[in-house]
Amino acid sequence: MPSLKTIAELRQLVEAAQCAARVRARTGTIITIGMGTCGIAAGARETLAAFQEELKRLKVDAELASTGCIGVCVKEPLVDIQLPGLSRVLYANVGPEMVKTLVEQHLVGRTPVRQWLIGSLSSEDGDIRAGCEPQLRDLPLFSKQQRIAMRNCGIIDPERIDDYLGRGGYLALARVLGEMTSDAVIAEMKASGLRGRGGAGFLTGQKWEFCRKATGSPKYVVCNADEGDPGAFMDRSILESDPHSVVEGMIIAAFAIGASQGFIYCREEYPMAIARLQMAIAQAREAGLLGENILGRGFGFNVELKEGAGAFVCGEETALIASIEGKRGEPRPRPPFPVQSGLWGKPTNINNVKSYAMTPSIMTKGAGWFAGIGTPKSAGTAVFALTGKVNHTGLIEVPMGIPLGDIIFDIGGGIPKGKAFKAVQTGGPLGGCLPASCLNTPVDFDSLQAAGAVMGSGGMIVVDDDTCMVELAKYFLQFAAAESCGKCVPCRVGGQRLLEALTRITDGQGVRKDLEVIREISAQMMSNSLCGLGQRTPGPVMAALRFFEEEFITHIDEKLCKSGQCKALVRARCVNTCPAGVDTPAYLALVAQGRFAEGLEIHRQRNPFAMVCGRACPAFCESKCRRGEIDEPIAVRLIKRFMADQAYDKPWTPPVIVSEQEARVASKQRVAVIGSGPAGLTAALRLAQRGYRVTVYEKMAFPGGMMSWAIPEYRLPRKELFAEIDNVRRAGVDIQCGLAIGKDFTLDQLMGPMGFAAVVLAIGAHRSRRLNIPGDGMEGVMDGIEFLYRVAEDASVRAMGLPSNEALPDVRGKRVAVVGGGDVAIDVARTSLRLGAREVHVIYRRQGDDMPAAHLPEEIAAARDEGIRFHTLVNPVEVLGFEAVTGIRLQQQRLAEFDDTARRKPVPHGGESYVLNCEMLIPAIGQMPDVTWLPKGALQVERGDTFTIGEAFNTSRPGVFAAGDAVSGPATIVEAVAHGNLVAVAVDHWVRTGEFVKPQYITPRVDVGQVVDFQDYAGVHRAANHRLPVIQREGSFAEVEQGLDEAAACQEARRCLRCDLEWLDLMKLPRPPKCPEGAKPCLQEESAAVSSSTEAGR
Amino acid sequence: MPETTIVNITVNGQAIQAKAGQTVLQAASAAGIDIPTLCDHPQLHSAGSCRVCLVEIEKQRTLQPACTFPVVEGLVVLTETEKVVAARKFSLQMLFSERSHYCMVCTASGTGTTSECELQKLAYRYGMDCFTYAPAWQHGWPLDASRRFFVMDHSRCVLCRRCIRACDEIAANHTLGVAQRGARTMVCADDDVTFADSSCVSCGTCLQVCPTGALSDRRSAFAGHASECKHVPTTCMGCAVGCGIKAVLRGNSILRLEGDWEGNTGGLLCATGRFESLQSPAPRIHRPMVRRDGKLVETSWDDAINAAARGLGGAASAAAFVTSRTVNETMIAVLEFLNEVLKSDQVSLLNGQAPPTELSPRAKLREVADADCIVVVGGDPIKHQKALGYLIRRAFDRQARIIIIEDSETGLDALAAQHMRLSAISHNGRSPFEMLRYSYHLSLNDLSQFRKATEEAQRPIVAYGTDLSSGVYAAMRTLPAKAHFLPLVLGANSAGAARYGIEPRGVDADALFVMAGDDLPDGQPIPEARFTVVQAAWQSRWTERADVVLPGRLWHEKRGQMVNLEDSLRPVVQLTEPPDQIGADWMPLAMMSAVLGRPGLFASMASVQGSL
Repeated sequence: MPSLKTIAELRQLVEAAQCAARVRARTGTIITIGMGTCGIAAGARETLAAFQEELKRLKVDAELASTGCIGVCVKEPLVDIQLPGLSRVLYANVGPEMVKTLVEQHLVGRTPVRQWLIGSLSSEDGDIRAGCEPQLRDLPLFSKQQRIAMRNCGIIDPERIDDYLGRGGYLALARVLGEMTSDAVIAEMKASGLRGRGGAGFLTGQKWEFCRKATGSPKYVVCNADEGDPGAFMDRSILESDPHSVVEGMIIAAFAIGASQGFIYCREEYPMAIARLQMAIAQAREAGLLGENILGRGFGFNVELKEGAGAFVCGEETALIASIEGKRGEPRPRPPFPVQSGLWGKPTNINNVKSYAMTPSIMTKGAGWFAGIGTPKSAGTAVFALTGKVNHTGLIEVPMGIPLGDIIFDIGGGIPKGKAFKAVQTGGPLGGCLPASCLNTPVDFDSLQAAGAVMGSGGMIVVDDDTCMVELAKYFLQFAAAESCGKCVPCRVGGQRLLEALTRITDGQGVRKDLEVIREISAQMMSNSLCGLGQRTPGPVMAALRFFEEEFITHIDEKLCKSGQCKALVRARCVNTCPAGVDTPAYLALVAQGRFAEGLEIHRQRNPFAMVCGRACPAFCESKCRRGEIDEPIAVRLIKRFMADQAYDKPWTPPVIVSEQEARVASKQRVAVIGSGPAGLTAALRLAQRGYRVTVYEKMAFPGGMMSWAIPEYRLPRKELFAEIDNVRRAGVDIQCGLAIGKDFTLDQLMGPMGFAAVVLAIGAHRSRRLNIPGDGMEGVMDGIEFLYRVAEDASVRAMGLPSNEALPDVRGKRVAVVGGGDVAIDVARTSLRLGAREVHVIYRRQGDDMPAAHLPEEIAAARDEGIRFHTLVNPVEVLGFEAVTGIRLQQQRLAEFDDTARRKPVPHGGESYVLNCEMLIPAIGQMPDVTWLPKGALQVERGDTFTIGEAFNTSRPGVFAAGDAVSGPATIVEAVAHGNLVAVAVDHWVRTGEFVKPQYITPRVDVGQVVDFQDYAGVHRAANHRLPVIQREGSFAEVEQGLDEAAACQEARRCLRCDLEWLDLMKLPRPPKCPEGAKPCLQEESAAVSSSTEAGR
Repeated sequence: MPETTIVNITVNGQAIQAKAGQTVLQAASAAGIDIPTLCDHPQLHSAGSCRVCLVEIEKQRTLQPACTFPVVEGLVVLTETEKVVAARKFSLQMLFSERSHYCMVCTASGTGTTSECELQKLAYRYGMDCFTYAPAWQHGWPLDASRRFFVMDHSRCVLCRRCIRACDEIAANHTLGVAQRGARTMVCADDDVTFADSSCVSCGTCLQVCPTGALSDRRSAFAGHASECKHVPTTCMGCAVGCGIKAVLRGNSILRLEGDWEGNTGGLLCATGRFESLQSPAPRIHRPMVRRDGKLVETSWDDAINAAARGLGGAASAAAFVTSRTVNETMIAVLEFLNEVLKSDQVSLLNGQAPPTELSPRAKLREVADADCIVVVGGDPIKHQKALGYLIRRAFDRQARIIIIEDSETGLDALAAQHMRLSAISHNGRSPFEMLRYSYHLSLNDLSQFRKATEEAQRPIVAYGTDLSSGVYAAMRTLPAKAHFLPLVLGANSAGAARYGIEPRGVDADALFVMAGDDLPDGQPIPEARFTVVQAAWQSRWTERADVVLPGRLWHEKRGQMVNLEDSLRPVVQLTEPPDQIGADWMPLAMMSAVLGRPGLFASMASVQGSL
């Protein structure tokens, strides 16, 4: 390229390049492959080779080009194919094996390969037709993005200056040098409102002005490309994909400031960025855009690349300066600021890569254009590296002010594997995490800071509910403490002390005072440290403490890490996550050996309802199973069901679990339990096992609570349920049905004349919420719980061998509309169908994925299979009909802001509504405890009518305890069982001592030896869950799930990875001996006393 | 230089005036307001790392270090607010938790304000009476005892890095640095080797700035608290630099020698001055001895004096050698004794030589580090005038151009921007010591380059050695007037000797009197004579062959003056009393004079001593 002498020559050159680009687009067949670091890591080189070969083989005349990163890193290798006159069509994850098809179909056959493409890359001028639908800019992934810094990324070949010129590159320089004074450039920059994209957000134009006005010569311009945040790669990608934009930005800055020398400080871990930068610098120098007397304007500027050794602190500007000077990269106090005294004591302007990359656009399109994007105080766009637990990981550029949730759920595509969003860490290891309640926060400098995080340089890490926030804070702290330069005391020592405090907590050694220690050290570090690194090191911890303090306290008080990440606290994630703490690996290991009865015994220690939970448990254990990360989780529930069913005809008499002496003392006391659901029955059982005389009062005709009165028979046959309730009776519990509190007796009577030492209220949550719309009292409107009661009563009656009472709700031939998205709604819908409804519609106000019943995806899938129709994003506004229901008016909803559960709130969408004709309307939109019997003020209740309880499940009246749904609101059986276990311990303690103590339900840890070789089961897939064919379900309440046979159950149990044994190694505890298959003595039981010390591990 | 601007600031409500360019700490301390600090040191650049001097400054978001924050007009500073004190306490608590600050067993420990440990002093000041965070005593921090004169105990280190800055900025030796990062940060020598294996020159500057007992002098460790010590300024007699010393005394013993921050080298000393000059290189001579039956035997002063006087007085010719390592007064006494009593003018300098001293103007040592061009001709300051060598290295660090003109390797070669060779010319005459004598010449081309370098520089300094050819000296006399000169005098007080015409020369005599002082034989031979009297502090080859040995004093037992290479008269203060009533250098001479019939010759010596 000839060295350019004048601005006119530059303009001519750009025009020629633009013209050439247009011609190329109209006439060329071009295959462009993403060759950024991400692309190459994903195999772009192999893909390129495959194209070369295939084009040669088929003798196709096409140009192979390379480009940088367009940002959709998760879809690399990315290939786009452009046919003459058509826009570029982008293909995702193009492996070499796909190349043949692409060449044959798209290049030869001129037909895009639908199933692989993402969309077409729309061109700016209209004369190029779209290559295919959809247009990339219409996809959620791109529609909310706006690209300034990344305007050329993934589009041009970064190694060709012609490509950059073809996109109008260096026209900004032409304008600046040709038409503007230095002051005008600075004024333009200030007017644009660009704030430094390195993270601090200082006004760039103002910084330039300070540097220009500073005395001293020469002046320097430095580009900070020392990107060090874990998981952040914005700067690298821009340098790799569009190095000229940074060089051009630097030349403009140098002109504005009056600098003659520039440095780009780039970490050596970025070899490709360095190579391309050097190439760009050489090209610019050859073109006369760098050097002496640039374009004949008497202004000279050179750029030199300095490689950093990868110290995180060198991103701090004074440390960066020290590093360029050849000293140890350590910050020094400011003032003086680098703009006054920087490199070698001379005025030095330091900006981030993105700030320079945005500069040319500001100069060509004008300050007004830039200031119009984003928010008034944070103009323009922000570039983020979106990583972590989000579907579309990669680079994005969004206008400032976009809600955080839009980035994660629209651009990022939400959380993978249907897990729940927990938090997003912005600002890298010195930033902070923000919870679901902050998803509506606009992403800009000030809003993020106000929310408790920081903008930072652009790292954005999304975490799901499998992440422990204490562990995450510790991870970032570990990084920051290790990267402390060690110069100032607060950072060097404070970081270490902070890390020790957090480590104590994650190791289960934490005490409440550690939280004070953390707060004190953090506050001092933030105010006293020398540089931003030390000042921001406590950021992640403070943010985690601000939003997730409960999690810290759970670690400290209960030695429990709910997300299952803290190794010392988590013996196995399945046990850890089970509300009742059932020792899953132990019974799985026993099932694997065919020792079902022993396995069941272990199960019953913590959950007496194995047959019930084998059928109707959401199996939290499976959602956290580590095997699930490899292929599919262990089918724990089905194994449990098989194991429990083996004991169906072997009645269990629960043993007394305390000493004879203790039992004798306890037997003098009577305890009443109100309600015979899973919480009440479990509490009664555990109290009986401690020697108490327990009476359960049930107001309904049969015991079981929601288990027998709500869960339909096809999910939970009554035979097995009653068998397990009988086990509780065998423990000595007296269950009295048909007696209701408030009607047949009162709380005062129980505690007084009836002679009970304590009362446990386990009354569940049976009162339905009402729709509260016009017409909701009309004939044909039936509450969901009421509906299920009537069906269940019939089932229970039949199970007892009595004739059906024929009181079933009559839905035969009717159109039924069910409102709601919870378990009850789905149960009602499927039951209606079985009772002969003509059509069943489920109406839900949000999206299907947001349904509470989605935690049992199999249920929803089964409902769909059976023909139930779902109407989502609609809300009933009026029940239609004269005397009886004839239909329901549904208002269209749209999703607006996020609520605290990371779901968008539905709000009416315009005036759109329609009518759904139905003869029966069943609202099932939630339940609450029925406390209408309670004299006003007798017991304290919360909003939503749940009982207010203390740590020991104690209500506001001494001696009266509460547990289950009556405390937590509608939950699951296993959660109710957990409450039952705990409340029994609390009641026992209170009766004996009169003290309220936070209960711990401790059972001995059982280590079962390994009998099989994992390797033999490495390739085995999860056992299939056989279901009744849909055709056989019609009109039948037969159980849908068929369960496993013995061989399948044993094989499935052997797929277990035995995390519990690894944990023993980690804790330096002995492993039980590995013994041959079929051998017996592989059980190693720790006494409760011993294991309580290691009770930490669940 | 523009006149210094005065700015008005307010510290703790008190209006004070400060000079622009000062830091808040400097301005406050000039006004008598005490802001504590641990990492800052008046002789070193500020680092702002210990965060002890944090103060509240109006309009600043966070606390700011007083040691780096520049004063500006109208600045409002609060130095002891609740927030500030909390921050200081935090830093101290952090430091006490970091290493093993187990004060009871620390060399720098003391009580209250008398502690030599600045950390301990601060702990007292801020009422730290317990460990807030558990200290890391069990960690096992390394202790580097590889050096002969001092140890580095990392358990006491607070990582203030004063030692590193002292090594860089004062000694310009760049040995010390920092290894690792974060909590693993350690002070290290070179690439994390022991001090002994490093480029450390044992100048000990780091010891002098260490605020705790991390770097401690082996000699003075555990030898007493600061409250029991006297600090006496004097001059080092190790070489012709004559560094200013602050001697730390306790009773009649010298605990250690420290560089005098106010002194001519600004606190800089070398290993010789700081450590070696307090060592005993040989057995001390306590009693006079005479040779009987071929053996030296101890005797009384009278006996020895009589024997010496007889031997010297009875000889046909007598001559004297006097060491350069002594004060002017001693030289005068020896001259008097020879001239007046023994009627001889043969007095030769021992272990020393001064180059021609008339080149002027003479440079001051204080100017060396600020010179922009230093030419070293015919000498090696790193070897013979170490402190000067370090000052030249400091000048190099400040971008001075160093030119070396020598024919052999010197310690400054690595810094040289230009290196020229001297060529040796042998002289026909015999040297005073029966050796072939050379002088060194420089080519005309090199001479003109030499001149050009001094002409181009703003503040050139020429350090020149002995034995250069007259042509070279002549050329130097014609250098531009801005060139300042420093003679590379060999031997501590050779310049003083030169004032009295004492220089190394050949002697030829029957009897010799050798005033060796605390000097030791160093290559230069003393000719054989029929009768030799040696006055010396240490046993040596000289005393072995003497006929009479008279005990002499050590440098710090003497009182007088010396002339250093700056040509300034420097006081040598008596720091300790000698053992066994060993008299001043002139006392035996006076006694011999009396025996030889000239009583009263040195009667006025005692009064002379002060007046010179």
